[in-house]
Amino acid sequence: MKLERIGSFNSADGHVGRTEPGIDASSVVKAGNRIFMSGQTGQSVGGKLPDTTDPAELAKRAMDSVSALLDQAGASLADVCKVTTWLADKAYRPAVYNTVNRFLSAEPTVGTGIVTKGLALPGMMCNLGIEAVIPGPEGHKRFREFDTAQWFDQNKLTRRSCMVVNTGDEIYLRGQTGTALDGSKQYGPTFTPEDAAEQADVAIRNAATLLEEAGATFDDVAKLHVYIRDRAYREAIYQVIGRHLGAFAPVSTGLIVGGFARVPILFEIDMAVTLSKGTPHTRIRSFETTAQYKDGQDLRSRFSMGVRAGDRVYLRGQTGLTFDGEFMGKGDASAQAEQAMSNVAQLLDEAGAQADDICKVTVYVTEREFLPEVEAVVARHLGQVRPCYTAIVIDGLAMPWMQVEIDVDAVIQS
Amino acid sequence: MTITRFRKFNTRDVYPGGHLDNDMCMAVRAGNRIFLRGQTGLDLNQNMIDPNDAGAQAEQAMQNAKVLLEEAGSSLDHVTMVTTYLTDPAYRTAVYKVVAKHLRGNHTVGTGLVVKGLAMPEMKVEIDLEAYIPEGDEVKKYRLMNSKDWYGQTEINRDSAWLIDTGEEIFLRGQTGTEFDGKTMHGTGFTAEDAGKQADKAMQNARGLLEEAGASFNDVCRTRIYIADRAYREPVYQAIGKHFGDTYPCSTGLIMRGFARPEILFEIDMAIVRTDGTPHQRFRKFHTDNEYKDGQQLGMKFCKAVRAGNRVFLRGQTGTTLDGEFVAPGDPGAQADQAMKNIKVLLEEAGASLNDIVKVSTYIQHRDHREPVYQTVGKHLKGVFPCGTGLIVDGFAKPHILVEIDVDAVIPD
Repeated sequence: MKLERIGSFNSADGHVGRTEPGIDASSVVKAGNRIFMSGQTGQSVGGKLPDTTDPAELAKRAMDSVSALLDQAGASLADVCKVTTWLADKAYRPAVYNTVNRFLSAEPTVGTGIVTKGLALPGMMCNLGIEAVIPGPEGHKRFREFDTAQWFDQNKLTRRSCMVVNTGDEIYLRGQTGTALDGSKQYGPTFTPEDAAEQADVAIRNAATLLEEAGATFDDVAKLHVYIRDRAYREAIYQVIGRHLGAFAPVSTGLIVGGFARVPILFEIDMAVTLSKGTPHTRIRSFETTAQYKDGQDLRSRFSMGVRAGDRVYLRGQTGLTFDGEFMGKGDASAQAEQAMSNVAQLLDEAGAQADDICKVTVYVTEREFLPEVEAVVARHLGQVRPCYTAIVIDGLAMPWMQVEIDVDAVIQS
Repeated sequence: MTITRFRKFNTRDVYPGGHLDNDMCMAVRAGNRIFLRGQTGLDLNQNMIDPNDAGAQAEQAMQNAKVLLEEAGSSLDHVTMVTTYLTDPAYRTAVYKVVAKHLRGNHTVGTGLVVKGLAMPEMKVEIDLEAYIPEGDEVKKYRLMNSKDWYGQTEINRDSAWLIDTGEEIFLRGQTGTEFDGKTMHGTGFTAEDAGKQADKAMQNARGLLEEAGASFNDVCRTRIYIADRAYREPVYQAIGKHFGDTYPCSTGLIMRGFARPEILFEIDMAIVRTDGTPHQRFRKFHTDNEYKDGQQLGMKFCKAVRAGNRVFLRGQTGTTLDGEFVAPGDPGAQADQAMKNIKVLLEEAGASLNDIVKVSTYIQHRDHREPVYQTVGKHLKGVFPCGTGLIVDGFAKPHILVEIDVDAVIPD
């Protein structure tokens, strides 16, 4: 299988006055039936700042692009499995969700919704992360369909949703929070670290239930994205994750964000799940959190630096941390990016992959001001690989001195 | 001292939906001191001027301020302090250029913050102005400078000062961990130690500046401590506590989205009134190690109210009772109710009342909490008509605090 890269752009397009080189990227990377896509913002490639302040209009433009890109990739909107919605302000939520739903009404999708500090350009309101898989003859199986309008009285927005999509190779799971699976109750409603831990416990138990219904287990979980509202909750949440998932040592990316779908949500967890089908995933450089977090954070968890699941390679979000837990480049975002990309190269190699197998790169920076220097480093490392690319300005990372974290998704070509 | 409130209004007429009922005003004149409502891109008829342009919103805000100051018998020439809240650091240059143009020739002190949000999502900037109407030549300004010489901000040609002394009140530029040279920043590694270094430098600068003006930390009534990340709280407060010693200011602590530059991890504002021989009265002094039972080691001595002449300053109030018990977990309206009850008690202990409130600054974590919080505040302040500023911030002293309320009060003669 060869990766197919569709629609080229440069991450510096539209950034007026920028001198640093941006990343040469693709709008879509097609890996067999699996479609990776750059985050869509409603900003035309190479265009100027958005000329509208209407979140519905930006979401419409974003979904028009999604539709066109899927078409170019030989897929359609009905093949979308998961939508990760990044909002620059929670106030945009109803307009964005209702718009997205108009495009995605054919099949229910799973979703994760995050409010973040910012997007690649000021004035952007949403970034839609689309994951799609062209179904085989049996089609995707979708579990526990519901409409968000029935979910915690969010009657202002409608969205045809489900809890799980099983493509036969992968399982897409709705971002899990501390909510009863039937939407009847929000756990941990008082904003303390204990509440965050309770939410994490409920979320991960729910994930176990859903995976079981779909015929999978935690053994199939390759990667976690852990979104946390306040740094004060980190220890409490990770200790719960460690208790449930430590034995499986997935890779993980941990982000501090501005908010979620509803205010009482303190935590959301995304799981990337590839069905192991009898061949266990290869877990690379598994470590105890004490070995990486030498700043005294008591996370009591176990993760890996990389997971190979069939031809897919998942990496831990990479930062200025070396594999020995030394932090490189304090106060210097480009030095941190350099370390991160050097780690990425090493890990891909250990997983049997190479740079050319990279499908998607996501850069999280804690200030938009760091993007040019970080992208210059990433661009130099990626050369003409042209992965999909998304940039997010995030409220915080695992340690306050981390200014950048880089997520890489790869599929080994044969 | 006479207190006059200009352009009284009720928020039900401003914000769509009609769920709010807050008696507010646009400006308060208390003697020669002017307090203004935080100004935004809403014009004085409450229409948003341009939802897509931070510079245009700043222009509207400054035009509003000009009108309001003149109605109160003052002018932009009397502005002493400018606090600028941006919802995105990208708007800084556009906004500051506008502010600079309107205040050309008037060197003011300033604080620049990036916030999570403002009252409406389309608001990109809010500007708080403080002003003092001089009677003669009593106003002295220290260390005049221009922002274009400051950390390469060549585009921002803003006349600034480090300290303005009206003879009664001192306005101090928001202090960060910088040298006065505009190019040497302390603590640039984003660690907790770096934040501590910045706080130490900021406090050294503040002390030096106050000494130049013949004042001291004993004149400090209230601090507002802005921190970029919860991880920096302990080192920052410890450094501040070391410098303040037995000053016992009251304080409000907020976690903010950002400052003028990314490497700034901390900024401190001080409200300062000259003691005039008689020390300020400081009520309900406490040590943070007794107040924060969650293990935070802040090493800081604060008080809950300061009376300085006719002025009253309070510690930012939350859902924690004055005895330190946190009530109404998870309920922003009930937390605001407790905060307002505390404010009433503290004002009365300081010889004031709710009726003397001239400005309310309301900080929340989530815009969804505006309604319950503002409805509660509106009930407590029915008929008071203060001016107000409302910010959405990233956090407070503890994660379960959903609202903090700061009030300024002036007791009429």
